[in-house]
Formats: sequence, C-alpha cells, structure tokens
Amino acid sequence: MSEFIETKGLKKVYQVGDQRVEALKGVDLEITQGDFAVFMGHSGSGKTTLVSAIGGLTRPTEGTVLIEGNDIWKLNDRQLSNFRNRKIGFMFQSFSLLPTLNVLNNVVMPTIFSNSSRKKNADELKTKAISLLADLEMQRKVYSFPSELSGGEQRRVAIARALINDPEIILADEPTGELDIRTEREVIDIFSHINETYKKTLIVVSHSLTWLEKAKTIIVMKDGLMFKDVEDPVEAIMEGVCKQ
Amino acid sequence: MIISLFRLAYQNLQMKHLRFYIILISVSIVIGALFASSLLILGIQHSLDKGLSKLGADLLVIPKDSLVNMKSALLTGEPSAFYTDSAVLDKIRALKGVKKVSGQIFLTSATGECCVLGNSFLIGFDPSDDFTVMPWVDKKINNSFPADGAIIGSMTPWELGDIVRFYGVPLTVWGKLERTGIGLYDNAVFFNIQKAREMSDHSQSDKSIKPLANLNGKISGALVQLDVGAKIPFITFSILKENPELKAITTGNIATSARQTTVAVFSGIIALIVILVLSNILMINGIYSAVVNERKRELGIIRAIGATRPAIFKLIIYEALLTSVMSGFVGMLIGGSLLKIFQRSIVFYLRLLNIPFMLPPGEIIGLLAGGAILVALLMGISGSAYPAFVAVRIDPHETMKQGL
Repeated sequence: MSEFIETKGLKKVYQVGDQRVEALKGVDLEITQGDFAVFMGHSGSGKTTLVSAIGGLTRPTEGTVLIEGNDIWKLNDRQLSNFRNRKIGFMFQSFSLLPTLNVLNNVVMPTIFSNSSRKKNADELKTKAISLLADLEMQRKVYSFPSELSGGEQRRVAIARALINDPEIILADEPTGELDIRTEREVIDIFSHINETYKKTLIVVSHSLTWLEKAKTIIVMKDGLMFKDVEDPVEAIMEGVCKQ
Repeated sequence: MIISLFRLAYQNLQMKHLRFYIILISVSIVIGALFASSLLILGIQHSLDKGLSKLGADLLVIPKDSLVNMKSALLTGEPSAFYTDSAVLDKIRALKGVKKVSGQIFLTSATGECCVLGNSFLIGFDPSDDFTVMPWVDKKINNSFPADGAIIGSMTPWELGDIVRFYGVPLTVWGKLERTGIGLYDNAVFFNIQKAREMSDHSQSDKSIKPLANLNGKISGALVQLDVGAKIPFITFSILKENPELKAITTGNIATSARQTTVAVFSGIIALIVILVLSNILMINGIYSAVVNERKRELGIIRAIGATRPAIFKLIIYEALLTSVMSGFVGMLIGGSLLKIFQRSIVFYLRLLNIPFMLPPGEIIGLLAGGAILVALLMGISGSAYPAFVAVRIDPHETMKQGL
C-alpha cells in the first residue's frame, strides 16, 4: 500500500471575537490507500476540522494537504469542487439527504456537478445507483422519500450517494451519530464491506468506540494534536476525558 | 427521471408552497397589469397607425393655427375649424417633388337636426384629385361615385343607400370604409367638396343652425403625396417659404404626437406598474433571503459534494426564474382574459374619452407576451441575485461543524 493522504504541519486558527482558537496545532499525518482510519476524540479536539481540511472543505491557516502528492489547497474553487466531487465521497452525521428528492435522485445528486458522469446516460446512472442501493439492501426503497426511511436506511442512502461517483476516499463525519447500537453496528459493517469490497480509503470521525473493532488505523485527536498508533486508544481517549 | 440542476431547483419549489404561491400571485398581478395595459396602449397606437397609414399622404398641410386642433382631430375625431385659401393647392402642386395634392374641408356636423350624428367628422374631398379616401372604400353600391354621394366611416350608423342630410344638404350613402380604429375615419362622412360649400351656404341662410364659415374658395388642409426619392424636409421648406400662413406636418409626426398623448393618458398606470415591479423585486429578494438562510445546511452539503460556486448561484436563480416565468404565464393569461372579457366595456369607455382602440396584430401580441415574460424573468433574476450571492458564500465546513 502506498502513501495516499499526507498532511504536513497542518494548522488551523479560528478568530472568535477577540479570541484566537487553535483548532489544529501542526498535524503531520499519513494515510495509505485502502486504509480504514477512524479519528476519535472529544468535541473540540479538532477531528472535524482536520477531516474538513483533508476533504477540501476548510482552508488550513498553515501547512499542506497532499492527496496523491498534490496540494489540494493550491487548487482554485472550480478545481477544488471537482476534486471533492470526483475524489471524495462525503457522508455527514444526519439529515444530509435532500427531503424533496427520492432515494434514487438523492443517490445520483453528486453526478449533477460531475461533468464526466453526466456524459453517461440517465439509464446508466440509474442502473449504477440501483446496483449500489441493492448492495446496501435498499433496492425496495428506490423511490421512497427520506421522510419515509428509518435512520439506518437514511445512512445507507447517504453511503450510496457517497459512492456514486466512484471516489477513492470516503470521508464520514459521525456517520453513526444518533443511531441505536444495533443500527450502528450495521452501518459499521457496511463501511467495512466498502473498504474490503470496493477498496476505498475510509476516513471516519466518531465518538463511538464501536468503530475500533473494524478500524485499521486509529487516530486520537486531543486539543488540536494528533496521536497515531497509540497502544491503548480507549485509555488514551478516556485519559482525555479524565483530564477534561 | 434522473435529477438535474434545473430539476433540483424545480423540486425545491415544492418544499415551501406558501412562499411559491405568494410570489406567483404577486408577480402574476404585476405581469397581468403590465400585459393588459401594454396591450391597451399598443392597441390604441395600432389604431392610430392604421388610420394614419390610410391617409396615404406624406404631408398634411394645414393653416398654422389649426395645428393643435388637427392632432386632436386625428386622435379623437374632433373636427377643426380653421381654413385657408384653396389657391394653395396649385402652388403646392407646382413644387418639384410633389406627386399628388388633395384638398379637403373638415366640418362639424350640426346637432339637433334629423338624422345627424352629433360627433360626425364631415369631410369634403375632391374626387378628381383624391388619393386618400376612394382607395380605402370597403363596400360600395357601384363603381361610379355620384355627385351627391357619401362615403361613411365604419362606426357611423347608416347603411349603403341611406339618405343622410347635413346642413340641409341630402347625400346618398354610396360607400363604406373598413374599420380603422381611428376617430377621423370611423366616425367620418366623406362627400364631394362642392357639397361642403353648399352646406356652408345653407348654414348661412338657415337661422335654426349655427352658421359655418364661408367656405367658398376655402379648404381646411391639403394632403400631399411626394415623388419617390423626394426629401420631405426640402418640400416642407418650399411649401412654408411660399405659404408662411401654413404649417406642414408629416404623418409620422402626427403618429408621434398621438403616441405621446396616449402615453400621457396611461402614464399613471405605467408609473404604478413600475412601482409594483420594484416592490415585487424587493419581495422576491426578501423571500429568497429567507429561503437561503433556512437552507444553509442543504446548500452546504451540495457544495461539499462538489457543487461549484456558479452552480449554487444557478440553483437559486433557477428557482426564482421558474417561479417568475410561471407567474409571467399566469399573469398574461389573467390579464389577457380580463381584457377579452371586458373588451367591449373598455372600448366603450375609451370611446367616451374619444380614444380609438383595436387589438394589435397577432405578431405584436406575441412580442408583447415575450416582453412580459422577459420582465418576469428580470424580476426573478433581480430579486434573487443577492440571496444567490449569499448562498455562494456558504461555508460547507460550517455545515459539517453544525452536525449535518
């Protein structure tokens, strides 16, 4: 496996009124292709900011984000949008499906912004979307609307949407937040399945320790700093809790 | 159907029905009012143009003092009461570049006499040099215009063969003009210029009616047709140089003047529509600002999954355009239908104001409809442009931080 994602001296400073908040304090990170990396840590530890910087959503104050050796923050808005569209499949915590669109249209929505995908005809797109939904056991809900789906089903649709443009990276921020234990396990199994079957690089941000069972790489975030390959991540996280 | 940016915009409209209908109703009213009033104004102008084109003349030469009244006469059908010597006809004929000259006498019809229409425009013309009346006769008894014959406008109450009497002079209705929509023609009665002079003589002797001016050797004006290539300004200059008591006006000038009069009549309505358009733009702006604010989360997600800034801008603009175009069509339907339903009443009231009206031709109505849709489009774009700029600036990272 080759180095795929790399951050060097990544810093992010927010100015909140008169206060200067350092969300990231110089993060050096390497993630290999096909990895299943889970970022853990408490609220405000910098997980989401780090993942946003990797995903081209928030510009770092300092440092670089290299994807396959290319600094994504040197791209202009159009190139960066195209990068997000083609290279990354995003999955957000909840309510990320558009309520006016049915499941099928929610899944194919990213293709609206992907010129190459639009060259495919509608039938091809539909077939691909239905195939993805079938793989996620959602084939019977293709024409349902988000309001008619359970929390777990909504997550499956969001996963299918993240996969529709065949991205190399899936970036998920709290994908199992607000789910019960059983549904959470189902979603984690799906992620594991995606990692193994589709060979996608997964980057997941979560508070839940259940992810540790399937993760290949565990990264603990604390006060804007990153700790990789910690011997006992649970203890590391718990220690953070105790200190806080 | 697979989603597209345009379809996404359409689907979004279905989320907030109330807002959609508020914009739809409000913009429809504006577009309906704009379409209907434009149709009215153009209808009036079309009537004038059609009527003026039937003059067949390049210049109208009249006594200086009757200029204002002449414009009024052409617009409203009210006659003029200024005359000049008929000798000017030969002087004008002699000018280089003049092809035809036809003298006419305009009279006011006497009221209170049997079978006389109070507001008729009585016009004496010379059939021997006429080129403005005879070519436009729609119906006629035979091919020979008799010495006591009359040609009536389409809005006069008589039929072919009827005997009409003006200032004691009987005339037989020989022909009828097709409808023009212009008062000058539609309410007019044309007859031999000699009969006009007979009427003048009779009015002097009959004490029961208001006497006309002595019209022997007089005309109200001359219609002048120029040779091909002759320059109107040069001919006008030549006429006025030799006849300083006259005024020469082009039919184009009359049309412009008439248009200005029409626009003046409708200026209040136009001003109101402009205010309504501006207030609707502000309303659309307010509604779409709220829409963007409420949908920050959704727009952030769309941006995160690869939408460029222009795509987000287009998404908001498309929504506003769809609403405003739909409103444009509904407005035109309402405005057009109301105009059709109340056409008779509107025409009646316009006639009370002595304003002619005929629906303009289909292609003009088509252009007007296109213009109304364009106004609706511009309202949509103007109203939603600022909210769209706000939407473009939404930070997708913020939406992630907010737990979306």
